[in-house]
Order: sequence, then structure tokens, then C-alpha cells
Amino acid sequence: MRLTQPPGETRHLIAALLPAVTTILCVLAGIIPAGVPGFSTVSPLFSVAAIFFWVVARPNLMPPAAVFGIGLLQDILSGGPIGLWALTLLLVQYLSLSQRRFVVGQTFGLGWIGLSSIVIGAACLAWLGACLYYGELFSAAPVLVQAALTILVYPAVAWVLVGISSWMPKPQ
Amino acid sequence: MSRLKTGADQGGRLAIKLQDLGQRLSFVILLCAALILLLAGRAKNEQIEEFRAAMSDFTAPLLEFSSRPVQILRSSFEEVDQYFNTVEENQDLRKRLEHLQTWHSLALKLQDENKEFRSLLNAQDLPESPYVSARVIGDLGSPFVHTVLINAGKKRGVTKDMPVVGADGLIGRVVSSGNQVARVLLLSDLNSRVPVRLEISGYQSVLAGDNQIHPQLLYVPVNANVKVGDRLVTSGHGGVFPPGIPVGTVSSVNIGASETEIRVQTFSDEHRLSFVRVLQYNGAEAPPGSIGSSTEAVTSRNIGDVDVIPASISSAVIKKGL
Repeated sequence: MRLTQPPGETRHLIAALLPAVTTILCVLAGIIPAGVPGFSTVSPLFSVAAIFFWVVARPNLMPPAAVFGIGLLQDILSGGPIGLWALTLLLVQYLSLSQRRFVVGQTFGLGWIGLSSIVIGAACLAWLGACLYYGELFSAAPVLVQAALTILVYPAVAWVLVGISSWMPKPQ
Repeated sequence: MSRLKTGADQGGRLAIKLQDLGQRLSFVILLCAALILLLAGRAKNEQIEEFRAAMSDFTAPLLEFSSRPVQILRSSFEEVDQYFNTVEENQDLRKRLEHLQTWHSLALKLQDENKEFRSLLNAQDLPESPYVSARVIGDLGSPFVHTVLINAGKKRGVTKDMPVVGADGLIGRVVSSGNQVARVLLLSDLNSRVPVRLEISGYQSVLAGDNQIHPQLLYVPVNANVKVGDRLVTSGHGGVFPPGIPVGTVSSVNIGASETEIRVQTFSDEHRLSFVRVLQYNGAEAPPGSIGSSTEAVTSRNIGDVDVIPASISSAVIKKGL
């Protein structure tokens, strides 16, 4: 996935925005009417996968403020409690950052394991948050399916994002 | 030279440290902000809902834009599918047409008869609600919330609590509305409660969502003798939903030791919603004699939008069990 390269500064500017933009696209991908029965209930948490990827690849381009904004967008669009995904994704960002030194420069498999633990953690946190918010014990099954699907699609998401990040200028 | 270099090094390190500190600080502040938002939302803060509605407006073009490719893909799959099934479908449709024509003439006859009886009884006709057609642009299902986003809002007269129906029956009601888009709470959502009536026996009940595919019937009298296949329509109690909208059929009856669990298969398929109608029904406050103006509103609003059947006819056909 090699793209044509515009000159210097424009490229830097676009590169700085790409992580946030691609993560927003990931949020949208999760809520488009797919027409598959039941899919919308268990659609993968693309945003968690994208944030993990970018925090590991380019931590500077995925600051807490961007993560907060993306989480808020997900909250608004999903119709759930406002602040729940903002909170969850912030913790995802924090955990990814703390895992970064074990994952960066290692094999893809290791990153995959790292992501898996974070996705499961994020799904459980979102579930717990929703249960507390609504004062109702939800079934945890859809959330776990969601986490499993996210882990399954991660290689594909990572493949696309690797293509995009290889186009971006190297960090100094 | 080397001192200069170490100076620059130290400066660089300081900058990195400061940046790190800034990131940590913003992380903590934002974490608190998210918590405050959650608590404010928990306290049913009106401003939070208004903010959400306004932001949904802002994201609507984004959603419409991104749902296009998927929609094209979906419709092309359907086209290919249709191409292979044309002959069978044609035969099937012919049969149904024949069948429906008999019903059509019967419906017309019954309509006349009904009108006559009503005038004899001097019964007050319920005004037919005007409606707005809209397209589903976001399928916002999550494990916790079952809602969809439609591309009609306040600008087209869609406001909170308006009932939403599809071609097959009731879908839900509007829970928040921005200028361009509105959010529809589906029947299966945890917060959905719809007063319904068992069509044959006339018993009143409440259809309650609990985030499962089949919503539950509550407060059914013990002697109601509900059976699988019994049909449900809205009862009109509470004033949010007009009476007589087809809702679904009883899909399972589990008699337990302490209570009986009755589940309902809704007529509308939540996963295949594309076009919906928002009924501009204002319940008990509907001014009598607004029929003329409402029909006008229907025709002018829906030109070039979707091929729609007036609510009364479509529900009449459905009630007959077709």
C-alpha cells in the first residue's frame, strides 16, 4: 500500500492528522447500517484497535485530547451514556502507552496479544460502566463477542494502518 | 562545542519532560471531565441531551456519506439475488396479487360499511396523523442501547415522543431530535415501554424491551390465556402511540413457577430498517376535525420521497393477517 508523496510540509500536516482521522473512520465503520441481523449489537470495537495501533506506532500523534474527542464522538453516535467511551478510550490510550515498550519493535504476534488484553479490558469496563449507569445487570455475552471480533479483525485493521503509517514521514 | 551540545541536549530533554507532564496532566483532566459528563448524564441533565442532539446534527452528513458505499453494496447484492430469483418471485407475486385483490375489494366494502356505521353511531373519528418519511442513516445498536438515527429532525417537524412505524408495523418512538436528525428508540431497548392490546381478547398489556431480540409482555392478567401467535396492536393508552398500530405476535409463552414469561416477535425487523415513517401524532390533544389539513400535509411532504401507503390502509391489510 504505497501512496504518492506530496512535498514536505503538507505531508507533515496530513501525517499529523491521519491517526485521528483514521480512528474517526473506525468509529463510523462500527455504526453504519450493515444489514446483517444482530451485527450492530456486536460490531467490533474498531476504535480501540485503531487507538492501540497509533499509540504504539506514533504516540505523539494520539494525545489524550484526541482520544477524548473520539470517545465523545462514539458516545454521541452510539446513543449510550455520554462520557463512557471517552473514559474507556482514555484508559485504552493509557494502557497502550504503558505496554508500548514491550510491544514496539517486537513481532506482530506480541502486539496482537497486547491488543487482546486491552480490548477485553475495555469491553469489560464499558460493560461495567453501562451496568452502573443504567442500574441494570446486562448480559456480558454480546460484549465478549464484540471483544472477540475486535481481536479477530485486528490484523486487517493493522494491515491498513501500517500502509498508512509507512507513507507518513518518520518521526525525528 | 561539547558544552553547547549538552546544553541543547538538556533543553531537548526538558522539552520532552514538559511535553510528558502536559500529556499526563491533560490525561487526568480529561478523565475527570469524562466522569463529570457521565454523572451529569446519570442525573438526567437536559443540557446533556440537547448537546447530544446538536452534535448528532453535526455528524449526520458524515454518517450519510459513509453509509452510502455500504448501501450501494447492499443493494447490488440484493439485485444479484433478485436476478436469480426473478421467475419464482414473479410466480409468488402473481399468487399474492390474486389473493390481495380479493382482500382489497373486501377492504373497500368494509371501509364503506364502517363509515356508515360510524355515522349511524355518531362516533368520533380519530384524526389521521400526518407523517414524515425518513431514511435510517445510523444503526446505533450496541450491547446496551438499541436505537437508530434517521435523517429527519425538527426542521421537518419531527419532535420527541413521536411514534415511528415501518411498512410492517411499529418500530419505536423518537427520543431526541436535532434539526436534521432524530434518534429512534427501538422496541427492544431497555427503556422502551409500549401500551399494547391483545387483538382478539382485548386484554391490555405493556410491551417492554430488555435489550433482547424479543421484547417481553408485562402485566398480562392471569386469565388472559395468551397463546403463541396472538397478535398485538398499540392500545393508545398514555397518548404517545395512536391506537391500532400493528406491533407483533406472541412468539413464546413460558409458564414458570412464580411468573409467566411472554415474548413477542415484532412485525418490523430491527436489523433491516431502511425507510421509516414518523407519525406526527400528538395524542389526546389532537384537535378534532384536523383530518383535511393532515391529508394535505401527507401528500405535500412525501412527493418524491418514498412510495408510501396511508397508515390506515396498510394497518388494515396487516390486521387481516396477510
